[in-house]
Formats: sequence, C-alpha cells, structure tokens
Amino acid sequence: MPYIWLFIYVAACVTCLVFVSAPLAIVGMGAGLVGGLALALGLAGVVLLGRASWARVCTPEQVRRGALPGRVAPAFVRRDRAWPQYFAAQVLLDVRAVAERTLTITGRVWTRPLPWARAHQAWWPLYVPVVAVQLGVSLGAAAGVLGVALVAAGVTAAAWLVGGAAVRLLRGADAGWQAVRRSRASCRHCYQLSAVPAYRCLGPHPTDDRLAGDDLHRDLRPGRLGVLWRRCGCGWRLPTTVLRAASSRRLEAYCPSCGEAMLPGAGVVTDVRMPVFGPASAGKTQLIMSALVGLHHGGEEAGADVSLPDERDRQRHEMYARLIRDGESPAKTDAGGPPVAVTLRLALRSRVALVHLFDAAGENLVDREQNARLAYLDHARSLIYVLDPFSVRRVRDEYAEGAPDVFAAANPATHDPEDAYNATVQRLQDYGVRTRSRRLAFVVSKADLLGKLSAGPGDPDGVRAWLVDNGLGNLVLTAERDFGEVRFFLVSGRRAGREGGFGPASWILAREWGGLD
Amino acid sequence: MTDDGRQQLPPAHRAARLTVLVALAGVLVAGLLADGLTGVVGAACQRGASVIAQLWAPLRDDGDTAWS
Repeated sequence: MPYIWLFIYVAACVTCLVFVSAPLAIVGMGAGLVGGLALALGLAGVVLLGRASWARVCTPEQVRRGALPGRVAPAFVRRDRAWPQYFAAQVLLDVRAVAERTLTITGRVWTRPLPWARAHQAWWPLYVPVVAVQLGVSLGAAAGVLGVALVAAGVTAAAWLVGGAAVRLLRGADAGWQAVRRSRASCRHCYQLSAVPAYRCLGPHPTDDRLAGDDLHRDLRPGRLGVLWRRCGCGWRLPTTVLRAASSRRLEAYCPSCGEAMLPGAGVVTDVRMPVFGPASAGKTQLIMSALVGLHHGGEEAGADVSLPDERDRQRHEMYARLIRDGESPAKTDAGGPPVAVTLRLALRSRVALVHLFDAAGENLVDREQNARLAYLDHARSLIYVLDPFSVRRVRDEYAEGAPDVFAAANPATHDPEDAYNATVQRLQDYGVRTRSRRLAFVVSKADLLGKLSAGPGDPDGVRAWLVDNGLGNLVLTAERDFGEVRFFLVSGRRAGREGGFGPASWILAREWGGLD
Repeated sequence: MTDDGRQQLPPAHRAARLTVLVALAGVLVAGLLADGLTGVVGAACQRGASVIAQLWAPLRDDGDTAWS
C-alpha cells in the first residue's frame, strides 16, 4: 500500500512540475528579470535624485582627512577642505550605494520564501517557480547594476576627458601668465617664493576652522576639487586659478610657508626683487633709500599709479623722503635684526609690478654663516652690489691724508670689497643658484663725496675703467664672469634722481618689467 | 564617508547626478527602441509562448479526448 501512495505522490509531483511549475517558472523568470532590472534602475533613480538617505557622501571634512585618491604634492601639505568634484569621488559612492541596496533587496528575495519552503517540504514542486523568480530577479538586478555602472563609467570617462583637458588648459594659462609677466608670490617675512599662494576663504567659517587652518586653500589650482570653481567646506564658491583668485573678494593670499599675509596681486603681478649686498658702511641703506624715493617720484612723473602697500612701507617711505630732503643719512642697519624689505607697487596701463628692495646688515652679508639665512638672495633675478670707493686701497692711499674731513664724512667700509663680493656670490653658488642667468648692477657709491676729491670717474660710462685703473680689475672680471649681464653705476645715495639709487633700480625695472616711459 | 545621503550637496553634484540619470534613461530608451533588442525580446517571448503551448498541448489533447 505505501508504494501506491508514493507512486501517486511522485506522479502528482511530476504532473505539477510539467504542467504547473515549468510554465510558471518560465513566466516567473521573465517577470523576475524585468523586476530585477526595474529594481536596480529604480534604486539608481532614487540615489541620483538625492532621495537615498542610505547613500554615503564624500564630504569636505573627509577630503581634508585624505579620503580622496591621488597624490598631493608635499608643498600643499594635504587636501584642502572643499567638496570634491562629483566625478572624482561621489560617482563611485553612488554606484556602490545602488549595488549594495540592490544586493540587500535581492538577498531578501532569496531568504523570505525559505521558511515557507522548509515548513511545506512536500509541496516542493511549487517552489520551483519561486526559485526561477529568484534567479530572474538576481540576473535582472545584476544586469541593471552593471548597466548603471557602465553608464556612470561612460559619463565619468567623458567628464574626466573634458575636465582633464580643461584642468591642463587652465593650469597652463596660469603658468603661461606667470612666465610672461614674471610674476611670483614672494613673502616679505620668510622670503619664500611660490607660484601658488595659499588662499584664506573669507566665508562663514567658525573660529575652530580658522584656528585649525581649515579655511586655508593651499592648492587652489583646477583639479579634483573643481575645474572652474570649487566649493569650500563653508559653502562658498571659489575661483580655481591663481589669475582669478587674485581678483576675488572671497579670498586673501597668504604665504604657504609661514602663513603671513601676502600683498594683493601676489602671484599675478610682476614681482621684481632687488637684493642689495656689500660690506658694512658701503652705503647700501642709503642706496635703497634713494632708490625707493626715486622710483616713487619717477613712477609718478611717468604717469604710473604708485602706492606703498602697507603702513610700514608708507612710514619707511616718508622717513626716507624726509632724510633725502634734509640731506641726512639713515641709521645703520641693525646686524641683530632681520633683513628689511620695502615694497613699492607700480601700475602703468595694464602692467603692474611689486618692487621689493631688500636690505641686510653688511656684517651678516659677508659672514658665510649669517648669510645662509638670507634666502631672498636666491630668488632674485637681479642683484645690486655696492662698492664703497673709499675702501679701495689706492683711493685711500692717495687721498686719505689730504682730505681727512671727506674720509671722515664717508665713513669708509673696512671690509675688503672683493671679499665682500665673494662672500655673497659664493653663497649663492653654493646654494645652487645659477648666477650666469642673473644680472648684476655694480654700484660705486658715495659719488658726491668722491666728486669732492675729483678722484672718481669723469662720467658714469667710465666706472668700469675707473675700477680697473684702481686695482679692482680682478673683481670686475670676476663679476662679469659670474653674472650674465653686468652694468656699472656711479651713485650718490643722497640724490633721488638717476644719479642716485633710481639709476640702477630703473635699469633692473626696465629689464624685468619694462621701462617707466 | 557620512551616511546622510540627503545632506545638502553642492549644486554641481546635483547637476552631475542628473546628467548620469539622463544618460541612464537615454540608454534605456535607446535600448528599448533599438531593433536588435526588440528582436531579441520578441524572439524570447515567442519562444517562451511556444514552450508553454507545447507543455499544455498533451493536457489539452487528453482533456479533449476525455470530454469527446
């Protein structure tokens, strides 16, 4: 008897399989395929419309902590706290969110009917269409997720192609402008030179952000944080290139090395750096004084817009102008203090320049240990060497006894001119500076006092010959060998015109920025 | 990564997401309208229908015989 029941059960199962389960399985698999596909596409729609609370978001905070792939140059320290470009990070998270959610729901399709199947094992033929539906849903969902991933990959590839080209173009425009205009951002505090200043976002950052430096954008160039614009963590939209950042009212330039504020236009306007070197008492500060006053006056006469960028520069200019007017000398530069940098802003038509004059105590310049700290020397395209004619042995031997009052007024430099020159130039060469690609203004100072002795060169063109005649042929030849271009000047630091510091300063300005004419 | 997917994303992100969505819809519509896919789906449906018909045929024939 039991065999009869078994036979009836098997026959019923086979009949059910053939005439019910198989057709239902075929229909169910088709429906499952469509359902799975619809599930994946529907979830993609939910995520892409921003309605998915479960989709993860790459935030500026995570970008700052290094969540964004790609190399960060050591100069930029870390990624800035800004929203990443969608196709740089978020697109991956969105596709992953669709895949994960689809997998979760598909998993439920497989697990939900299991308890029923376990409870009704005798009815197993009816479970075959369920398995077919499950298979269909899984295949459809997999195809849907694959389709979403492929479409997202295609759009991402197109975005990277266009974005990559735009990034290179915009970075090239920045670099091209800086090369043509000879513009760099130079810090007047640590003397560091940078192509890309750090920019502080002036948006609504909390105090903690400001203290932690999270409002600072160290690498504002187009890239993974935005091509034309970037969105700061505070929500403000910021321009991406140095060219546009310089004129943005939402950003302020800061030195990436020391964090001190830079002058407006840093990195975009022509940066002319004029370090002055020579022994103590050679007349360097006097030369800078007359150069600053001369440039201010000469610029105004040429119709340029001349300004002093900050209060410290304004005070220094006022003091120098008064000293020149009264015929007085400036105080000796403090050897214990840091070098002095004075800046003048010149704007003539579309051309703008920041002219920096650097002064350091002669004692520090001739000391190999001290002058190692004078990093501003390395970054200058042109340098000014000041030679005190009263320190030249032949002049001293010939005139010191006959004109002691003139020598007393001259307060001659005691250091040997050749040693003073070598100390600084060898320091430059030791630090890898190719002096052959630099120019040198060779200045013979104290021309007014030299004129009282009738001992100087008759005219400015005769300075070189005068130096050679007075036993400094070696120094002249060394300077001409060391530097790509050398020009000799006879200067009186008490005069603001071309016979003063304005002569060498305007020569350098003409070479680096264009003349004031 | 934060789990708050509905937090305020920048407008550029929303625009980019919309671009991907439009591309997805475009691909889907293009796929459905494409002759090749229509043909494949149509052929699959026909094949499925014929299999079901074949499976049902003996039952229908038996039923017809029994009732006749």
